[in-house]
Formats: sequence, structure tokens, C-alpha cells
Amino acid sequence: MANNKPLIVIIDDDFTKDQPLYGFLETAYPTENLHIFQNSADGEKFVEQHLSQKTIVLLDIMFNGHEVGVDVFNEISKKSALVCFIVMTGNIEQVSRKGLENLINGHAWYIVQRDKPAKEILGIIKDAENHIDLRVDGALEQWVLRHSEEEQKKPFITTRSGNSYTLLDILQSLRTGDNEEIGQEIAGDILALAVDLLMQDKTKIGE
Amino acid sequence: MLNVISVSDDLDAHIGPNCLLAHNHFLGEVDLLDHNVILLQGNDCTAERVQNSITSFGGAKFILAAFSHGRPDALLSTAEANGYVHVGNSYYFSSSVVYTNCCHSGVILKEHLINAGCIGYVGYTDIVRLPKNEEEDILFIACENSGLIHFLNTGASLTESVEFMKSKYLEQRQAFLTKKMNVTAALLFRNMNCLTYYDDGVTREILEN
Amino acid sequence: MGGKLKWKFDASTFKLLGRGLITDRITAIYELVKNCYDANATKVEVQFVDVETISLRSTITIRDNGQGMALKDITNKWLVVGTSSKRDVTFSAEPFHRRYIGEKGVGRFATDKLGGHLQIFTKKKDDPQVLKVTIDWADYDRQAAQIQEDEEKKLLFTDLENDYEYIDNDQLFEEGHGTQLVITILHEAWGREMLLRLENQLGRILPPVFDLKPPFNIFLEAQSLDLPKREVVPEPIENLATIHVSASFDYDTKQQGVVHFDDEKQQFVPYYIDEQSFGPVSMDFYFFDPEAQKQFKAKYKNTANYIEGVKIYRDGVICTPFAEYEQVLDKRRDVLGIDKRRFTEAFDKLSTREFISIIHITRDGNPAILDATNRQDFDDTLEYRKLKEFIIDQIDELAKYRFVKRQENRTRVQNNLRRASADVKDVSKSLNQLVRERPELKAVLAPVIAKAKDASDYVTEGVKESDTSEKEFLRKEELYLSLMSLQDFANELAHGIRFALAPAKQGAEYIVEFFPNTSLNDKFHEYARLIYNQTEVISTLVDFMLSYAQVDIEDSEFSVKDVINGVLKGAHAIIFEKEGISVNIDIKENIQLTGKRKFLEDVLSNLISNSRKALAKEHEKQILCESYVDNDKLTIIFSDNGRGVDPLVRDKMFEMFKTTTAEEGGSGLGLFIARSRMKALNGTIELVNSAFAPKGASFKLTLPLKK
Repeated sequence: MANNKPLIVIIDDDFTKDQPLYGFLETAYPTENLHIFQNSADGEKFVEQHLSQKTIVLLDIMFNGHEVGVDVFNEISKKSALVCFIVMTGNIEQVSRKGLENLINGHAWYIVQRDKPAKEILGIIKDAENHIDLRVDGALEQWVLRHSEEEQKKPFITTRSGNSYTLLDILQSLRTGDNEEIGQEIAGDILALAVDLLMQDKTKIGE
Repeated sequence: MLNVISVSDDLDAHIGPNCLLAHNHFLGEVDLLDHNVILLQGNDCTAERVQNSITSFGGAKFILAAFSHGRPDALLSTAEANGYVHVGNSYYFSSSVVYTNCCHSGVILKEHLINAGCIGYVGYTDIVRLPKNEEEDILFIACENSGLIHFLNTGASLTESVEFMKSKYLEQRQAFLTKKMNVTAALLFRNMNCLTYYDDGVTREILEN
Repeated sequence: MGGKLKWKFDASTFKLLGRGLITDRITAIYELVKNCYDANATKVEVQFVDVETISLRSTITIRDNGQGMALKDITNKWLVVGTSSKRDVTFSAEPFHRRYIGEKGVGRFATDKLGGHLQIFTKKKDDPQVLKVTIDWADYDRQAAQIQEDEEKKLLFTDLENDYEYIDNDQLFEEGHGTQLVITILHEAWGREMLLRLENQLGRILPPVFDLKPPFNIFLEAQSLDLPKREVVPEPIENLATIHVSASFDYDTKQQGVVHFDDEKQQFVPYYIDEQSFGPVSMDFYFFDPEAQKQFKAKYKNTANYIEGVKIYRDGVICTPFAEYEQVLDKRRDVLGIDKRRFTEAFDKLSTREFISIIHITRDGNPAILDATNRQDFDDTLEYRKLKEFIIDQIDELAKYRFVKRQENRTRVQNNLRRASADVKDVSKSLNQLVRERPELKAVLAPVIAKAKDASDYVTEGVKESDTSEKEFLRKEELYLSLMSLQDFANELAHGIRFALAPAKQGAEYIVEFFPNTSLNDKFHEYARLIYNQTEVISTLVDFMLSYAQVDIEDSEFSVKDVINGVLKGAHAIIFEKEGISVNIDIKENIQLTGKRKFLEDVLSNLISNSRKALAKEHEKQILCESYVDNDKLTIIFSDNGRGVDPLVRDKMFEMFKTTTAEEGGSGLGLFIARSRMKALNGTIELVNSAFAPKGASFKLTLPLKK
């Protein structure tokens, strides 16, 4: 990844490069970060293969009259809770209640009607980008990925209650909540440290 | 003369070496040559052994230093999976100081020990984490033992010693931060935040009488 | 530190089980009678004594001549909650071999629903004495109400004790075996109406016209309410129905029989389809026309017997509608939600007031149809939903009979009216002739002649009125139909417009945002074109909407040959020449149709437009239009030898914006509009194998010949 911008993955059976929204996206993100998939299975696969990169997914809900998008959302979210989803629909009333439940409880970032002004949609994407950048668990994920594969497999910490964790365990935990949520706990620890440092702050104010 | 029981579960698969290290560090920093020290290691880390040791003190005050696993209601060892110090035998620990670096025991066991009349307790309310790295884990251990070492070497109150221990933690944390070992610093800080203690006005002097 | 923990049951558990699961007392008695069936009884006597006001004498007795129980049956089965020992074995003993219908082991708690005190008298065949067990539900209540100080000593259900003893009584059971339940301390009084309802419900445990061997006869008695002992019989529907259609499963060919109305023969004929996912079913449908409905009501006046739609029997015993005393009759009878369908009347669909259908399923053959835990419905499984749809299809088919009958009726009535009119005119004529021949009768006959004239006028008026209301009825029906399709239509169009607008909006937004900027000129140009295209699309949609808004489009008679020639040879001739497309027309018969001519023209224009685009890169361009009559339909096949239809879009090509002619400036609406037009003509359009295979495409249009 040459730049630090997230991947923008569009999974929508009606979307093409000709759409003005794509034009807007090009003004904010490098073209190599933009990926369009009209086939939902292909889009899903691509995201799952690039979990190590910060990703924002623009997801269409309806594919040929079926709520396939919700399945895609569920599947990817299972593999990593760190992928950010912006859900697009032609008509929000078309989405079933069950589908909405899934999206909300799976923490989809936003749901937007596709005929909204493109600038508004772009704004939502930029918000999502900020959000990803500032998430501690996302940052922790990146921290793990900065280590070599070998290092990732070595035991990193142990506890006085019987468990031992590698960096990979921590990574897995961040994405799926496994391993007693050790990843989330360490992310919490880092935040606690940051807060404490803030409390101890001796920055001089005024003259 | 001090009565001391030191329990160190060096048999444990994960933290055995760490317990041994902690135990040795402690003994290395405090001069207990002419005192009554009972070392329980390996298969001796049982409730029965602990209780017999206490009985052998004939009612005198003592310190129990524990280097092992823990649970909210007990201190555990490989030899005694249900706990060598637990809710059921808390009454053995009246007139004693219980000093642990185990996980969780501050949640339930501490209360029971206090109710049983123990005069001092130091422990943790959550999981205690250590880096699996020979350079850093000794630094963590040093922080964990610093309280007891200060208490025994300076004759200060347990409260003062715990304060001292916290400052050691923060000092070490800063050292990590300076070396940009931020994640380690966060882990150490977390352990410190789980510290809990109880002081009934005990000092080393009181223990010796 | 740890140990083991055990479950305890609070003493009030029994209330949960009894009063919770069985919601009314008719169901309670129903469940108990089902238990008698399972116990291989051939006779059950249900007796009510002094029940109209509650007193110590009020008693309900249920006695059967089934196999009875021994003490170990009581201790190991009756008093063991939640078992159905019947689950281990699914059939009762020979020669009965009855499939167990009681289940979930809670029937025993049904007695609590009825009264506070239960005595069980039971005897097996070879036992010398009768076993008597006393269960005092009321006492349970009392004991449970006592609040204990110490949590540990709280009264548990399993602590409750019940008395038992052996008594001598040879007279109790005629055949030397059986079970008698005596319930006293009744919770509620029973009136005559309740008893009649109970009789009605009990009569429905077994389906009519179903011979059980060995038999299962139920007797009901309530002397104090003027109901002498009588056998409960299922209602004989067969006799009263206007028509009876049955369809069953053919186990040899593994085919499911369905109701099929032959339009030609105007009657129901045997018809089979593949076995369905819910398993084999056999069905009997009884339709009641208004006259039959009246007779039915008269016969079953003052009972709870009604014509009530669908009833499902499993293994010969009823499982719907659930023996529930529903306050609202409509809810009770319509367990499949038949009457809930929209526009029921307008589509000639039957309501549950007009038919009874008996559906037979079996536990083995239809395992996916399960009782829901609350026993008020079936579990909502895929198979059950399919079964519901299937039954509704049969009922719709049945409705065709009613439609035909109605037609016949109307015709008959109109004919009668006309004949009456003619008759009255005849009478007038005869009277006038009489007066001419015998003028002295003029004075006497004058009032009669006057009356005859009046009668004649009234009848004529009646005939006219009948014709008018007939037309009115048809018009309203059409209006309903068009209203419904208009709703769907409006929905689709609105969605389509919004969809078409979105990129146009965003394209305009882009230009507004970034213009001027020479480096983006290509984009500006592209989006400007996009906006233009989208507005064209929206225009087309608006035109399409307008064409339907013109209510005045009258049906007219037209010649299909004229229309096809008009479009292909007239309007498009110049274009075909310019583009080098050779056109062949082959019309077998010159058929006259009644409908909206313009719509057919539109469809052909649309197809031509598509073909032109498909032929763009072709060298030897051809278009072929054939027409012939096939059964009762007019068929038109429109073909070209262009690049054919992309297999990827084949399934959705008639939907909006799904076709790939966008590059040539297509709006993606052509086939959508074509299909809408064909629907409005009561016809169809579909893609068929290309006449120019392996190239090109063929579209088949069909139109009904008879209206």
C-alpha cells in the first residue's frame, strides 16, 4: 500500500465507473484504492483477502430483489469487526426489519439512500475514514501487522490466570472477539494509558 | 523474629519459571537469614502444607507471600487446583499479612481474609499480565515485589509501602515510554490499576511480636 | 470450592402447566377425550351433573372402556410430569393400532382447568379391584400459597402428596376395564349453550365419512340441562353441499391429486402434479351455494355448527380449527388466513363462509407439519407455508365453479325475466283480443288489463335494471383490477424514476461543484450526456404513465393483420430500407381482436426498436413476424437475426433498466413497457428459442381470442 488512505470497495450490481459518484470519489481517493464489484461474492472475497488494509465498503443491499447485501455484511463482519460499512439503498423502506436489525447490531457505520447528493455521501465516507483512523483497535491491528509473521506467532504475553497469547491471538481477537477479547482489553489499556498521560499533562497555558 | 511462608508454584506450565523468578527476587532483596521462613514449592503448594505451616507458628503472626495463579475466591497451584488459600481456610489467616501477585483474589478472597481477621492484604482485582520476554518480565516482577520488600526493609506501614509500590510502577512505566515500548507500558499500568490492599495498622515490628 | 446443584419445582408449577397450556374448558374436555382414544377405548361417556350453578353436587364425569391403569402406570406415568410414554410407542395396542393423538403429556393437567378436585378410578382387565387416586388441585393451591420463611424449606411440587386406595366395585366398568375421571369443585358453571358447543366440538374430533375400526363413540349427557344421553355424531356434510370435489395422493405413481376445473367441459376433472414438499395429502372440498348455505343454517340452528372453511385432520383426528371457543367466529374459521387476501370479492375468490374443506395429513407422511407449542396453530415452517399456499390454490380452483354457476345463474335469471316480460305481453294481448271479441266484458276486464300493462312495464323495467346492474358490476370489477394493478404500477414507476434521477442529480452536482476546470472537461462532457440520457428515460416513463392516465382509451375491434402490416410495412418501412433490414411477414389467419389497438402497436414498435439495435453490426439483417392461432390463443412470433440476448440478463430482461442496450442509447425500459402493454391486453410476452438460431432472438406474444 503506497499511501495511507483506506481501500474504498463498492459492492453494487448497478454501479460502474461512469457514475458521477465515482467521479467524486476520484477527487478524494487515489484510483488504485477504488474497487468496484457488481458481483457480491467477488466483492466479499476481495475484502476478506485484504483485511490487513483499512477498508470502507459501500454496500448495496438489494441484488436482483433479494437482500443479498445483508448476507455479505454479516459474512465479512464475522471475519473482522474492523471493516467499516456504509450501506446504500434505492429505497430505505425496502429493507426488511430483520435486515435492519442485523445492520444496526453489527455496527454498520451508516445507511444512506443512493440518490442523496454525492457530496453528502462523500462526507459520510470521509467521516468513516476519520473513524477508522482514530480507532484504537484498528491502530492496534496495524501495530500487530507491522511485525513479521514469525514474531506474530511467538507468545507475547502470559497471565497469572493460565492463558498465554501471541500477537496473532490478539489480532484474531480484535477482529472477531475470540480469545477472551484480549485484543479489545489491550486496546482499552492503551486508551487508559493515554487518558492518564493526559491527566498528568504539564503543558503550559498562557504566557 | 518473623514468620514467613513463601508459596511459589514453579511447576505451572505457563508461569512456573516466572513464579520461581519472583520468589527468588523477593528472597534476594530481603534479608531473612535468622527468621522462620518456610518455602513451599512444587508439590508442596497445597492447602494442607500451608495450614500445617501456620499451625507450626503456634498462633504467632506471620506473612504469606504468594507467587502463583489466582481466582476471585482462591489462590491456586498446580498441586492444589481448588486453592491452597481459599474461602474455606481463611480463618487460618487471622493475624497475618497476605501478599500476592496472583490474579483476581482481591475480588472475593480479600473480603473473607479480612473477615477472618487478617491484618494486611495486597493483591489484584483482575487479570495480571506479564510480557513473555526475559528482559521485561523481571521488570514487572520488580514492581510487584517492591511493596513487600519496602515493607520489610523499612518498617513502614503497609499503606506507605503500597504507595511506594505504585510509584515504582509509574517509574517503570515512564522508563518503558521513554524507550517507546508503549504497549508494554500500557500493560504495566493496567496491572497497577488492579492493585488493591488492606491495612489494619500493621508494621514489621508488629509482626515480629 | 464448589459442589452440585439440583433443580427444584415450585408447588405452583402445576398451574403453569394446566391453566397455562390449555386455555379453555372445552379444550380441556377435548384433550381428556383424546386421551381415551389413545387408551383404546371404543366408548367414552361424558356426563355433566348439576352444572348450571356451581355447588358441591356439580360434577363432570368422563368414563371410558379403555385399557385402564395399574398403580405403576399412575406412579410412573400419570404422576410424572412432561412425559408422554406414548412417545416411545407411536401406536396403541392391537387390534386398535391407533396413532396416538394426545401428546406432550399435559392432558392430565386439563382436569385442573375444569375443577379443583379430581378422582381417578381405573382398572385394568385382570385386576381384581378398582384403583382410586385422589388429586386435590385446590389443596395444592392452598399449600402453595403458604409462604415459607426459609428459602430452603419452600414447598416443592414434588413434595405434594396424593391419596390412593383400592376399592371393590364390579359395576363401575361394564367390560371390566377402563378409566373414570370424576371432577368436582368446578371452577365455572356450564350453561346449555356451552354444552351444545362442546357437543359440536367433540363431533369434530373425527372427520365425517371416515369409518374408524374399531369404533370410537362419544356420548354426552346433561340431564339437568335437558340434554338426554346421546351419541355425538359428526355432521354429514355430503348431503347438504352443492358440489363435492375430492383429490388424493396416488401412491403408485407418487403423484398428488389436485382440484382442476376444466373450462371447456365446465366441470372438475382429475388432475395430478408432482408430490409436494409437505408430503402427500388427500382432500375433500364441499362447496355451498347460497341456497345450500341457507339449508345448512336452518338445519344446524342453535348449534355451533357453521360452514367454516378449512379443517385439517391428522391420522384421522382433527387438529384445526383448534377446539377453541373464539369470540369472533371469523377468526376461528379462518386459520389459514384465506379471507385476509386483498380484493377478495373482486377476484371471485371464495370466502370461508362458502365451503368446507377437509384435508387429511399423517404424522409419517407429513412430518414437517407440526403443532406449535401453544397448540393454537401449526409451527411456521417452510412446508406449512407451502401447504397453505397449496390449499389456497385448490380453493381458487374451486371458485371457478362458483364463477361458472354465477354466470349460469345470471343468464338464467335474465332469460326468465325476458320470458316473463314476453309472457306478460302475451297476457295483455290475449286480454285485449278478448275485449275486442266480447265488448261487454270491457268494464270488468278493464282493471285487469290495466294491471297487466303495469306488470308488463315493471317487468320490462326489471329486465333493463338487471342488464344495467350487470354492466355496473363488471365495470366495478374491472375498476378494482385496474386499481390494484395501478398501485403496483405506480410503485414500480416511482421507483424507476427515482433510480433514473439519482445519477442525473449527482452528475449535475459534480458539474456545479467543479466547473470550470479544464482538466476535468472530459468528465463534464460525460456527465452532461448522462444527465441528458436520464432525462430522456424519465420522459419515456412519464409518457408511459400518461398513456395509462387516458381513461378514454376504448376497446375497439381491429384486425391483427392490419396492425402488424401497419407497423412493419407502413410506419417503419423507410427506416428498414435505410438500414438495410429485410422484413418478412407470415400471417396464417386474419383474426379480429377486441382491445386497445394502440397497445399492440406499441409492443411491436418496441420490439422493432430493440431489433434494430441488435442488428446494428449485422450484415444480412432480417426481421421475421409470424402469426397463427394456437388453441384459444393468438400467437405472434417476432424474430431478428441480430446479436441475441445476453444470457446474464435473460431472467430479468423484462424488468426496468436491466437490458444492455444502454450503449446504443437505450433507456432499459423497452421490454418493461412491452410487458405492461401485453398485460393490459390480457396477453403475455416471453423470450423463446430464436427462429434464426444460433443467432438472434425471438419474442412470443400471445393474446386470448375469447374475452
